[in-house]
This record gives sequence, structure tokens and C-alpha cells, in this order.
Amino acid sequence: MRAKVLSLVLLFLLVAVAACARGQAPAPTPTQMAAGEPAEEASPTPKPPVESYVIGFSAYRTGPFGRTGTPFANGAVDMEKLVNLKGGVGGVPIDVMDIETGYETPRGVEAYERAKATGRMVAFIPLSTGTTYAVTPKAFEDKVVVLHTAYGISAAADGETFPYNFLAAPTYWSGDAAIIKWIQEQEGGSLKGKKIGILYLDIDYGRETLPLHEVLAPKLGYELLKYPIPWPGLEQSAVWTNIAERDKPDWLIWRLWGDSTPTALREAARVGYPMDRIVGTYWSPVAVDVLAFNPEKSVGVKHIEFVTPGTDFPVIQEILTELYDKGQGAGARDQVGMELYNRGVYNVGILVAGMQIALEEFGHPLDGEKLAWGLERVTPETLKKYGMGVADLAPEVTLSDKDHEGRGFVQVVEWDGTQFKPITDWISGFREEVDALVKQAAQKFKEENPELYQE
Amino acid sequence: MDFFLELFVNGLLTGVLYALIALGLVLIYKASSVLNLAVGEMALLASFVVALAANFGAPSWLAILAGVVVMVAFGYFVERLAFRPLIGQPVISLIMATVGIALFLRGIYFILSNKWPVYLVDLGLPVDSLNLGPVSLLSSSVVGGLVALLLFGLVGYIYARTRTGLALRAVSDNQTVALSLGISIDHLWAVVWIGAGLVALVSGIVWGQRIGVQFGIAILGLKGLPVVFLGGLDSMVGALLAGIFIGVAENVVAGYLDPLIGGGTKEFLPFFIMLIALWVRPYGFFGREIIERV
Amino acid sequence: MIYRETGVHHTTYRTDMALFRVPLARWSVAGLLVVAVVIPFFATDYWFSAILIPFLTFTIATLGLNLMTGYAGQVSLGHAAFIAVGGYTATILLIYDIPFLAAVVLGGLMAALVGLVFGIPSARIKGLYLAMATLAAQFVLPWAISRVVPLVVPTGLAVAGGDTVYPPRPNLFGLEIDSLFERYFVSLAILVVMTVFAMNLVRTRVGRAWVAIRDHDVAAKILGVNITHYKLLAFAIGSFYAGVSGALMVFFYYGVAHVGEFNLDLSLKLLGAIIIGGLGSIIGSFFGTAFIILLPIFLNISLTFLGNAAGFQVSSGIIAGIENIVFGALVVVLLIVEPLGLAKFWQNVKDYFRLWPFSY
Repeated sequence: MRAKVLSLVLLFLLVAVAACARGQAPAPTPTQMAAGEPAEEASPTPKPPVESYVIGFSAYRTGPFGRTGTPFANGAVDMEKLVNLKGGVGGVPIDVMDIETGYETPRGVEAYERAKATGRMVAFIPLSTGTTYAVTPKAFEDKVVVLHTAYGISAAADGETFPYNFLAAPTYWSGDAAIIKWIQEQEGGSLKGKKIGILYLDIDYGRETLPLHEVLAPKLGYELLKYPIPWPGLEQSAVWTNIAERDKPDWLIWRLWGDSTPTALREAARVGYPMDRIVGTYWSPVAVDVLAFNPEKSVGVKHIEFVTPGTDFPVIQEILTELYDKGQGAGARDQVGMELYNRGVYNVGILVAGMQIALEEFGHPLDGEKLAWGLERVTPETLKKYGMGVADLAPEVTLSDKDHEGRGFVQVVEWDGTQFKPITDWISGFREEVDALVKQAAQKFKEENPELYQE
Repeated sequence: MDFFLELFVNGLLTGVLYALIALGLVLIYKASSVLNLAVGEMALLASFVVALAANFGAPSWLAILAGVVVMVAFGYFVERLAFRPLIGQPVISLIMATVGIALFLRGIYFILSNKWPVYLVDLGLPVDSLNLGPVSLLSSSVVGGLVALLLFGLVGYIYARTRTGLALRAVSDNQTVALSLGISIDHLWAVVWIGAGLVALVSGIVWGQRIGVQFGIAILGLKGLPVVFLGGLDSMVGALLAGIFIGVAENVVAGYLDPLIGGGTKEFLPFFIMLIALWVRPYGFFGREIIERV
Repeated sequence: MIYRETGVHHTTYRTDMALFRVPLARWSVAGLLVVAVVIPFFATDYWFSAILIPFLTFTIATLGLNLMTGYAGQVSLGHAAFIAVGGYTATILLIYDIPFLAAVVLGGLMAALVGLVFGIPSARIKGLYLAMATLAAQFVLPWAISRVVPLVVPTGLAVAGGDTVYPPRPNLFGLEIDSLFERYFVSLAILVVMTVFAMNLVRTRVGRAWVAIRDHDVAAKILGVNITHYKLLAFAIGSFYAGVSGALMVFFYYGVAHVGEFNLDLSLKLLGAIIIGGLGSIIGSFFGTAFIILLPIFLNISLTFLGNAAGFQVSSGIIAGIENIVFGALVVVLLIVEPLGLAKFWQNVKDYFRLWPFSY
């Protein structure tokens, strides 16, 4: 019995190792690609010049943040299918290598390397702060685009310091600055004497915007109240009692993530804090958080967005008709159109736009460097032309070789009982202060990592 | 005073719910000296099953029944397939086996929740917040707290008054002697695992009401650890009192101290309390002291 | 390693006390080392970054935990926190221009010091209760790091917390350790030194005292072993290993010191590694690390591969779910088949081949 089980296990391991080895073997070398050699696999249609363009994607449908990672991953995968249905990038299909990492950085690094081993990786989507940190120096060497939309390294907005990191979405600083700007407008133009509380997870993500507020608070005259919540933040009653009984802030800015958000919503309802005075950053509270609390009781809660949620866009409609109606959708149909889902769509879409732009200039085959060149030429017009419809989701993104953020416009969206709906146009604010922070952070990165800039 | 009262009462309720998680740990430990690290995952699976059934339109009683069926089957099979073959093995191997079970349950949860995302245990219980004088409470916590106390009473009764309870106490006193007196450990372990499954069902539903059906419930299993160690691994009374103590202490201290030192006290305060308590009483406050002989 | 001791006679104390007493054992170890040296010449970037370097660095941590828990019986759930202390200390020292090797060693020593402090409860508390006491380290230390590091390092990636630090590129005696190839060899060299040290340590008075304490501390005390002293020593040495591995993880594997990586999950994984690998076994630490760190990756790749080969469009979430199920089941099955871990299984294989083909 023992021997049998063990030999089975060993056999399985052997198969696994063989599979790993095999998974790597057929990757053509970059030189082959450069020479334009066709891939070996036979196909009835004219052979595409390259087998496919790989976008590495460290997805997490499992692990502590699986609930929030799932819609994003499904959006990215669905968009991949849609792009390929429409003929891919100049006839070459894209391949979003959807590798599950469970939000663990070691697995994220492994995913990066696995995608790289294909020899055709042009871009990588880390979808986690830790993984972004770990793969950024690698991307400098490998010349692969790392796309971290509104998370990861905010300093990467400085395209001169981070040639391969793209946000293509506002930084956390831009986001909080826009929130303050918007609150200022709601308060009739002045924040003097107002109390603004920041409820944040006590990790680097949560603390990231504090320096910005420390600059803005004295300038605008609002009082900054800090409410750190230790990870994982499943029990918050003390903080909320403080908020409700003692400080009574006029507005609350949320910087939570994952499972802490529904808890915060519940506590807000308990102490009777007005929902319409809560404005979250991009990642909290999102639709899945509200659904995990109570859709009716959260009416009025807001967060900021860099892609518009909803299904009233041609690209989302196409996904619904082409994929979901035919039973080929990656996830649950009711998650289509959630902001996280649309972000997944946008991530792949903007990369495709970058590839198409680069294709016009360079032709096949593309690589990370050419893709970066293409992305730096994304404007509202080019995105409309090449973005396969994602321009509707984020109409204000303008990237350049200096600006990898795209000018930092956000939209405030509000929960209306069934979904998040935009209530403002695309806004931004306090660019000077934000730019100063970006500059400073980029400078520090440059000083710390001189070896990345040696040629 | 209102401020203190609100902190205190909310802490009290949270504490009872911590104690509920701890109860699942104590049950298993008493019978087998194993620290069940899958306790959070069991609650997660239970709450997911109930939420899923309710989501498919089953009435509340049917949803709960589905949860009961799944958890009883789970308890039975875990004992039969994993723990019975491990009788007599080092305790640390058994603890590791519970980790394996935890991973197994996670896998099942991930697959099912990918197919059918559900967000909430909707059993039609009141979700409004309750205002008792100056104190505002989550009504789900109040209901949860009462259910938890009932469950403690029930388990206590079984231990004190029934034949099975007698056998369980005998096994926890001395496994070898109990064996030689003709008590069937297989049978008892099955009972205990099924019991732990049912406790997990209750805590899964209660916590699922509170924080939503999400992976966080599995992480909450860790919150039960300081509680059982403070109270003593083999004491149910200890689990209840320690749960309440930790719930109240972390809430009151976090309420007063967090604004002063910039937060974070809540997460390690329970461990600090536990460290000091263990220094004074190395087997927890109500745990049985082990007398060692050479 | 492999024993074929028939015909081997020790005539001097020197050969009798050698680390590997049987020629075949020596040869097999040498062969293994040759393999370890030859592998990188054939390895791709993927093998370096995703498999070899993490294996080497994590194994050092596992070794430390095995000394502490497997040999001395002091269960620790705070190992990842000690890894973090070592990693951060070494990074900061490197920023202040301390040479690489000194930074690694000092990182280890700092971790040892911190481990010593968190080991103090072991004087009174034991077993599972002690595990909980060390769990406190896992919650207190990251909190402390995220507050201390921004003060010590004026740089940091200017994320507000400032506790994420990119270390400068280490250089060894003027040579920059840059490529994956070099990183591999430096890690390998350090791992070999640490392994040899551990193997020797457990044969000395210290190792024997540890085993005595683990097996029965009251008896050990009666026999005159200063148990407090040796328990604290176990904590210090175990944490030293953790600190060194932390430094290597930060320098060679992650390339960044980010406190989020050193979480409770890692502590539990390492503990799992030594239990699966075999408590109180050096080679078990290697097996265990491979099982815990690498097997999930193999499972993921092979399941994806099988899914594609069978022509299914499987979502990565389903694959990850199956991966978790299979991995969890494997852990349980392995424990049922061999509760003492992979090291015991290896022992059985060796015993079988000891007199092969003439075994009885």
C-alpha cells in the first residue's frame, strides 16, 4: 500500500517535471524572432510572422484577495479572447498568460519568469504591489513593459526614470488630490476648519498618500485625522467608535483593500456615519465589497475610478454577445461591467493599443521596447483608433515619454443601489504638489539604484 | 462614559464570537491533543455552502440543513480518511495534517466561489444597527452572540451530562487508560470532528453575517489562537472567558490608545496579553497543568 | 547520504569522527555538489529565478528552523519575522557601505539577537504554548520594522510608509554580484557552509543537549544540562540562519526588502517544510523546502499543461483550486504513509540498499 502510494506520487512528480521542461522547450530564441522566422506549428491560414505576443499576468482568483482579483482577471482574459476574435495585433494573436499566484510574491516572480521563458513576452501585469516591486528591476534588464494601473510604484509616473513601468492610470497621489479637490467643491470652495479622516490599512499601500495630505492640509486649512487599521482589518469597532463619538470627521477617505472593506461598511452603518460622505480610493469600496455588505444600505458611498464602470460600452457589449452569449465567458455574467472587470479589460486594451501603434512604426515582430514606444504615443485619439474600444472606458489618458501616468484624471462614482455610476466628469487637482512628490520619489529611486541606469 | 460603554459592549460581543472560533479548537484539542489549524477554513466552507444554498433560492432552514449535511459529512470523512490512520502518530504530524486539510478546503472553496460568486449569508436576519441608549450595536452580532452562548451551553451540557461526554472527558484525561477501558477512540474522534464541523457551521454563519462570505473567515481562525492559549487549550470555560477578555481589552485599549500612538495596537495586543499571561501561568488560565515525571 | 559500510573499518579516531564515515557517502555528496555546480551552466533564467535561487535561500531558513524545532524542540511560528529582521538589517548595512559578507553576517546576528529576546519565554513555556508565544514575534516585528526602517533609511521608495527598500547591488571583494549565475553561486556557497556547520553542530555537545531537551527536558535538567542556556542558544542559532537567509532573499531573490513578504503564511510554510521533510534531519530540510516551495509550482504548471493537452479551456482559478486540493491531499497522504516525513522515507530507501542485493 505504502509503496504503491509513494510510487504514484513519484510518478506524478516526474510527469510534473517533464511538463515543466516541455513547457519551456519550444520557445524560440529572440534572435530567431528578430530574423522573422515563422513558428514551427502548421496553420491553414497564412502563417503569422510571430506565434503570439505574450502578456504575462499574475492573476489571483484565490488567496486572501481572491474575491477582488477574480473580476479583474476575468476581464483581462475576456478581452484577450475578444482581441483575438478580431484578428489580434496585426494578425498575430495575443496570449494573456493567466497564471494564478494567490497574491503571493514568490509565485508572482515565478509567473514573470514563466512568461518570460516563452521568449515572446512583451508586457507583464503584476496586479500586486509586492510583485511590482520585485519585477521592476528585472523589467529594466529584460526590457519588458510592466503595467500597473493605479497601484504598484507611484513614482513610475515619471517615465524618464522608469522607462518600462507604465501606470496608464492615475497614481494614488493624483487620486487623493482629486478627491480633496472634489470635496473642496462640495464644501463650496473652502476646506477651512473641515475635518477629513483617512481610514487606511496600516501597510505601505495604505500609508502612501499621507505625505500628500500633510502638504495639502495646512495649505487648504483642513484638519487631517488618521485612522490606521492593522491588516487584515476584520475587526474595526474601536476605530469607528472613535470616528462617531469623538472626532466626527466631515469626510472620510478610504484606503482599504479586500476583506477589510465590507467590515468597514458594516461598521459605518452601525455607528450611523453618512455613506455619502465616504470617498474611497480606486480599490475600496468596489462593487464586490458593497455586495458583501448590503447593496441597499450602501447607497451613496463613493470611490474614484480611472475606468468608467458599467456595461453601456460597445466593447463590453461585444464581450457579452461574442463570449457570454456563446457560453465562453471567463467568469460569472453578473460581474461583467463591475469596475474591477472593466479594469481588466482596460489593462489588456491599452497594451493592445500600444502594440498596434508600435506595429505601424516598426512592423512585426514587436518586443517590450517597441511596445513601450507605442504606449508613449497613446493619446485620446490614438486610443480611440487602436484601443479596440477601451477609449470609451478611459477617454482622458495621454501618455508620453515623460508621463507614464496619463495626466491623472479620475472620475467619482457613486453606488446607486445596484451599481457604481459616475457622478462627475473627469477631474484632477493639485498637480503641482503631486508632481513634486513624483519627482522626489523618482529621484530617490534613481539614487538608490544607480546600476539600473548604467549602460 | 458613553464612549467607554460603546467600546466595552462592542468588544464584549466580538469577544463572544472569538470564543466561538476557540470552541472549535478546544473540542478537537480535548479529544486528540491536536491543534486544528483548519478551523477557519471549516467555517469558511460552512458559510459558503449556506450562502450558496440561500443564493439558489433555498429557504433559510433548508440552507442551514444543507450546511449541517455538508459539515457532518466533512467531519465523518476527515476522521475516517485522515485521522484514523494517524492514531498514535506524533502530535505534530497530526497538526500538519490539519494544515493539509485546510489547503484542501481552500481549494474546494476557490473552485466553487469561482463558479458561483456569493457575497453574503442571507438568512433574513435583521441587518439594522441596534441602538440601546447611547450604545450602537450590530444586530447581527447580538444574534450571533446569543447563538454562541447557547452553543457553549449545549456543548457544556453534553460534556457534563451525557454518556458520550463522559467518554470524551475520559479520553482527554488519559487516552491510553480510556482505550484500555473499552472506549472507542475512532468513534469519539468522529463525534468530535462532526461536532467541530457543526461549531464551524455556526461560527461561519455568524461571522459570514458580520464580514461577508469571504476568505477573511479563514484568516479569522488565527484570532482563535490567542484566545485558546490564554484560556487554556483544554478548557471551554477558559475559551469563553478569554474570548470575552481579549475582545473587550483590544477594543477598549485600541479605542483609547490608537489615536495616541498611531494605530496598530489591536493586532498585537492579544498576543501581548497572552505572552504575559503565559509567563504567569504557562498552561493558560483554565488549562490543565501537566505534571511531568521522568 | 548513501551507506554501504560493509568492509569499511575505522582504525583512527579521525576517520571515525568524519562527517561522512563511509566512502560511498563521501562520493555521493561530492557527486551532488558537482551536480549543483554543473546545473547553472544549463539552467535558463526561469530555473534560476523561479526554482534554484528560491530553493537555496529558503533552505537556509528551513535549516535554521529545523535546528530550533526539530533538534531543540522549540516550536516557532515567528520564523518569517526573524527572516525579515535579517533581510532589512543587511539591506540597511549595505546602503551604509558595509561589505556584502559582513552585512549578511551582521544581518544574521541581528536576527539572532531579536530571536534571543523572543526566546526568553521558552524558559517557562513549552510545546504548543511556546509556539503561540513566538507567534507574537510575527505580529510585533513587522509592525516595528515598518516604523523603524523609515527612520534609519532616509531613502526608501518614497511610498509613504517608506518600509520598502531596494538594496544596492552587493559586491564581493570588489566583484559585483549581478547576474543570476553569480547570485546562484554565492547563495550555494553560503548554503553549503551553513549546512556543514549545522551538520557538525548537531554532533557536538550543543546538539546532544538540544536533543536531550527535546526528548525530555526535565530529564535533561536532572542530567545537568543547563536547559535555559541551550534553549536560548537554539533560538539564537535558528534565528541567525533565518537572518542570513533573509539577507539572501532580499539581495538575490526578491531584489527588494518588502515587509509584506515575511508574513505568517511564510512561517507556517517553513514549519510545514520541516514537518514534511522530517524533524531533526538536515537532509529533511532540503526535501521539505522542495516540497513546500516548489511542488505547488510544479503542480500548477503540470495541471495547466494537462488541461491544455486535454483541450479544456481551464481558468487559472480552477487550476489553482485543484492545485490546493491536490497539495493538501498530498500532505495528508504523505503523513499517513510516513508520519516522520520525507527524511524517514529516504532512510528507508537507504536501509533497503544498504546490503542490497544480499539483504537477508
